[in-house]
Amino acid sequence: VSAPRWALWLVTRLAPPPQAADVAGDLAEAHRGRLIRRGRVAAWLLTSLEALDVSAALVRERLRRRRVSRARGRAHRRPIRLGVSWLDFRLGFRMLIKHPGLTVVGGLAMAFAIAVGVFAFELVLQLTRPTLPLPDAERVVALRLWHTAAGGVEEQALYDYRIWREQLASVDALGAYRDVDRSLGVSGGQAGVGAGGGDQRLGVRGRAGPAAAGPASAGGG
Amino acid sequence: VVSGDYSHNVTKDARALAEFELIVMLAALRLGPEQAYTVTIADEIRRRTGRSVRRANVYTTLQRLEEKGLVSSELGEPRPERGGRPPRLFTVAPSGLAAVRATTAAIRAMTGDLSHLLGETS
Repeated sequence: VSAPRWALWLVTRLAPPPQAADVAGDLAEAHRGRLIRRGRVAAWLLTSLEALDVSAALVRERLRRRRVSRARGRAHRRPIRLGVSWLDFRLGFRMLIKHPGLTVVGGLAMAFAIAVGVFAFELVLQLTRPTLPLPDAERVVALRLWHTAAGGVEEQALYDYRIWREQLASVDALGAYRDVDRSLGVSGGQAGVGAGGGDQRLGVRGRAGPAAAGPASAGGG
Repeated sequence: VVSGDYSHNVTKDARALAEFELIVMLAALRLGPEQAYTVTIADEIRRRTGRSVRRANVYTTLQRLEEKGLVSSELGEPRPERGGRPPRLFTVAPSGLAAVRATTAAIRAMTGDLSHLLGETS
């Protein structure tokens, strides 16, 4: 005679899935021992009571784990506090009234520090990423020469390109282009976008002379 | 019966166990990794201490000991007396043994010179 079916069903439903079989097995084994020692009726009653007790423990354990999980989630999502309170503003205002000279000096010092920071930042920016000496150069979002063999940006070619453009005497316009393959799905195949020639795109023309035919005007440089 | 390899070093910072945790751990050590599961642990405690042990408490205690890494568990072979279901066998981990040693050492240190009050011989 096995343990009451409802008891097995209850503990199986309430136990975590990986442990459902062994929890039900424990109940069945305990019931078998009671059958031998105490008889059928007593075993049925005691096993039923134990099933309720185990079920309550399983529910408590499930609730505890949920609480722990939520507490961990809350701790993880806790917003960053800036540490500024109303008392800080009150203290600042009182110090302003009490020591106006110190406030003025402090304000000037902070303004000077900010100006020094901005100047240094601009200097570094101009050294590392200078704008091109062209009209509307700020409209150029990016100009990059990529050395495919070396796998890096080709700074020397950019310099050569600028020198070459300035020394042109017979070429009316100098351009460069490259094909960029986009992974956009369009009807009829893959979309191809040609990145345009440098001088024409920038609205800059060469110095003088007729438009050159051949490789220079055809692009590809 | 004490089986399994429990010859590990005891760390000084081993966590102390609560009283029922200690009793459950000692029962698991006595039964060994092949026989320590909820039913047998409850029976062992009942037989040795004469306490009426609720299996639900043993189950909860073993779950928490496993969460703390003091015991590990795995399913055994299905058994006919369990309706063909396998038992979950518990093995005391090295950190669990260290915790048992630390707790029993603390109890011994506190009861050492109180034998005239406690009526113990050792």
